[in-house]
Amino acid sequence: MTTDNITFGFFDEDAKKEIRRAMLKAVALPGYIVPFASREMPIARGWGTGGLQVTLSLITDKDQLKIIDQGCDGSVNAVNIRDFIVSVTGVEETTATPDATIIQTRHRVPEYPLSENQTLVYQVPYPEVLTTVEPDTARQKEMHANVDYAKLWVLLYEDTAQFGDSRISSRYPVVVNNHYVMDPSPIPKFDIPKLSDNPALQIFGAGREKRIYAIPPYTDVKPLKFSDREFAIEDFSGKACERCGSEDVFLDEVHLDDGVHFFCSDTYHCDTHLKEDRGAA
Amino acid sequence: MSYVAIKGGAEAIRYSKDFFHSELDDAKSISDQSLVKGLRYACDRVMSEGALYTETLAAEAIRKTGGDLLEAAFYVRAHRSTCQRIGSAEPIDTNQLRIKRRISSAFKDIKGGQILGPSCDYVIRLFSSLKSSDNTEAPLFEETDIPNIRVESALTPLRRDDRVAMLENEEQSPFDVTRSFPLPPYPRSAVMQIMARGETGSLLAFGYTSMRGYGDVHPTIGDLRLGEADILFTHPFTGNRVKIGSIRVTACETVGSFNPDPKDGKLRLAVGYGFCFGFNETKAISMSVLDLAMSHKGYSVGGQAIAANPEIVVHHVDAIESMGFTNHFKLPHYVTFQADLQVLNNARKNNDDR
Amino acid sequence: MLLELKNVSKIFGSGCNNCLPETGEQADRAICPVCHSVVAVNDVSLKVKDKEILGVVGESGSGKSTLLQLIFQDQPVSEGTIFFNGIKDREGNNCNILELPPARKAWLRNHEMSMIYQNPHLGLNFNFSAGGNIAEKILGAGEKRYEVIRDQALYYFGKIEMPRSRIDDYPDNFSGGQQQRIQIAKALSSSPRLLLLDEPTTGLDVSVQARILDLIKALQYEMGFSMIVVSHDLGVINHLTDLTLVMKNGSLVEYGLTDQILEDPQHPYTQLLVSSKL
Repeated sequence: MTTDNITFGFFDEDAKKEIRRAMLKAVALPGYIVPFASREMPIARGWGTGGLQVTLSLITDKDQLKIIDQGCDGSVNAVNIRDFIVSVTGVEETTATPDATIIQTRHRVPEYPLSENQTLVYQVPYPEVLTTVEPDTARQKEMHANVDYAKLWVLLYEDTAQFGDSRISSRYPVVVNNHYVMDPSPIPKFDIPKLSDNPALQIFGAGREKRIYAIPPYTDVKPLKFSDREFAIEDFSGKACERCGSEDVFLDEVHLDDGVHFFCSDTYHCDTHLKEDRGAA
Repeated sequence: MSYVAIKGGAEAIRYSKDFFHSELDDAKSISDQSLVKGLRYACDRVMSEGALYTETLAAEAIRKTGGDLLEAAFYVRAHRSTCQRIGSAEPIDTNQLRIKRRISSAFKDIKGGQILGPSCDYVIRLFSSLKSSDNTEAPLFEETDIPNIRVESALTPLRRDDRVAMLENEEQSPFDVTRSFPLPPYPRSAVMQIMARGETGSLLAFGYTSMRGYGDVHPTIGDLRLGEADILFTHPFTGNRVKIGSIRVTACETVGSFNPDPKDGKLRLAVGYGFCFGFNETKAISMSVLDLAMSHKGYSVGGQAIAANPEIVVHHVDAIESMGFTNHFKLPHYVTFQADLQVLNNARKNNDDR
Repeated sequence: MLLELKNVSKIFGSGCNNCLPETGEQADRAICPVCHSVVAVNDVSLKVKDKEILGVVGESGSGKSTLLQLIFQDQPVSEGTIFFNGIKDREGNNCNILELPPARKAWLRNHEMSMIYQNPHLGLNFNFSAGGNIAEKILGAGEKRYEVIRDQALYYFGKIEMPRSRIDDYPDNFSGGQQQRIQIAKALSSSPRLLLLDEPTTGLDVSVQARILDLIKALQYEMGFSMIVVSHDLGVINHLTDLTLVMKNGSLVEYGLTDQILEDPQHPYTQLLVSSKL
């Protein structure tokens, strides 16, 4: 067997259709979790098989593909997934956020604002936002149906009472279109405001848990928050990227022999900002 | 005339055993070398679950059992019972491993660097090879001597900052589960030993319940390392410290959520630890998640989660035991079953009469 | 009328046409002789007015706890209808609350009714703090301002005479009597119209019992909700209720003013109950 007899996009067309149907339903019901028959992929579960299946059933030969992990195009898992997708589709790859038509991501939303002709595909480990308070699937479905999120609110209450704010650092629950509460995948709180009213289509794929959900373009997305409390994102005030000097972006904290350093998490942003700086100088 | 199989099994058993061995005849031609070097992860599992570091006997066990790794580990365990104990080696500090692979998913870069080492993490699991830019003919990796890299845990800076909860050492000396079995409350050293000897799949299943929502959700791997550890021993006659060999091991530190430390009420991160013989990342990670769930309270206040219950973990991760018990159901049970039937018949009779 | 039950029955098991006629008071059994189903509640009708306190007595297995669970919809009703506080359907007719959509049923449970269970594990979430348990009910009733929720939780925590400093402790760290108090605070925090109490003091110390009963009575007087109190203890019924209903084998056998029933029981079963207890 050689790669020549692997079809475009790895899957057979029926598999792609099934996944697209799940995506259509997900788009029609913003924030609602749609089950799908997650296929076994040649990379392991938990490594992005959900996002990969979404990307492979959306992609055409005209697409430009960008894959990031922690904001970084060069991260090993991103490289690996990109190599795989390119090898089964032959599409063009890019690291430039504005050029990409499909961006598959793990743990970050790109710093560069997205546009209408782009799709952001998230890799999702835990699609079900209620898991922390209710592990039983049947009960979870009932709670969504009744828009009963009291238990999530109680968790928020408890943390606020004991720690002053929620202890949730990433995967902060969001209310989509004023209805379903949804897990936004493990992005930092810093990225939560970017989900709302975004011109791009955002699709979330969870391979291991066999679920797909979506935020259609220009949809209202709010963090689950008491109305008399501010939603506080990660604070990098007074810090800047040591490489490109950017402020107001998400920074990686790196511990080295000579102490703690900060760098842009979004490598495309860092590279372009560095070029602009040099161009200006 | 049908015959009643009551006794006379001795001969049948002998034939059955012969049959079994003859089925595996082809295994005899597989060398120790092919197994230890070529099927090294199989050997590692057998050593780890067999709880004895012995590559050649692991290879021998795999041959004898036709590659049934649980049965092979069972051979090693049984052999272990025959070994005389000369003494105890010094504790291994896994900070001092000669590193072959060391990664941390908690930080982008760490002191000593992310060392990918040999790993199948990024292997595309297809029988065919894919067309890819880096798919060149020449091998990228040339066998060189592994340099003596020693690096501290990636969590050490957080420990120095007092951001990691340190458990009280409540034990004078470690419990030895091979000499006695603990009663609750189970000492942590005993639970750790049981897990280090435990079966990969069982640890994985219990650890996975915790990751999927029945307990502390989403652990972060603070430091996962594979490497060689020197075994130091004080010579019983000369009294000198001597290195008696080195073993390949896997160690993992996993970070959970933070909570008020019972010691002083300060907020600190909870960390779990996993360790096993040989290279087996799945096992070490699973063990560290279970240690995290049992030794610290995460989000799951109350501790009813399966993975947080030492009673469940201690008694259900040793597959030599669970496999033995599962298979014992093949033994004749006709006396007890006949008694069961009698009870059923009496109950039915009682209900029908009513 | 706040609450009205009409011909409500609950059958555990397959059920058949003989279940109701062949069981209950007259038949003197609760198990159907044909299909062996258990008839826990047999054709019960009752009414509760605003601010009224109704006691339900009977020996264990008489169906009194099940009756409460049917009203709170912890259990599905097998037959019959329940009306609550003039809730109407689209046509403006009084509406059987058993046929409400799930979201409205949840609304009823969160806003209008509360239940206090004998077993605190049923009434409290032991993974949440005392304050979190009270907050759950306030949140369920729609409040989304943290400060208001916290203040209300502290207010009701004070109402049950607990020190504010313990509000973030978990139920495990409280005594049985204190757990019942927390249940009361949780139940009342949504200002319900109807409070259902299932053996609220059974299993507690006598002195603790008396204090909890006094607390319930004082809060009822202050807040003015209606109550249905289920107890096998006639002392509790005597202490708390205005009206009493006696159940046997799932059927209602006697109903009247509590004083009258305890002083001058009419039904032979009530006479037996009263003579053996007093």
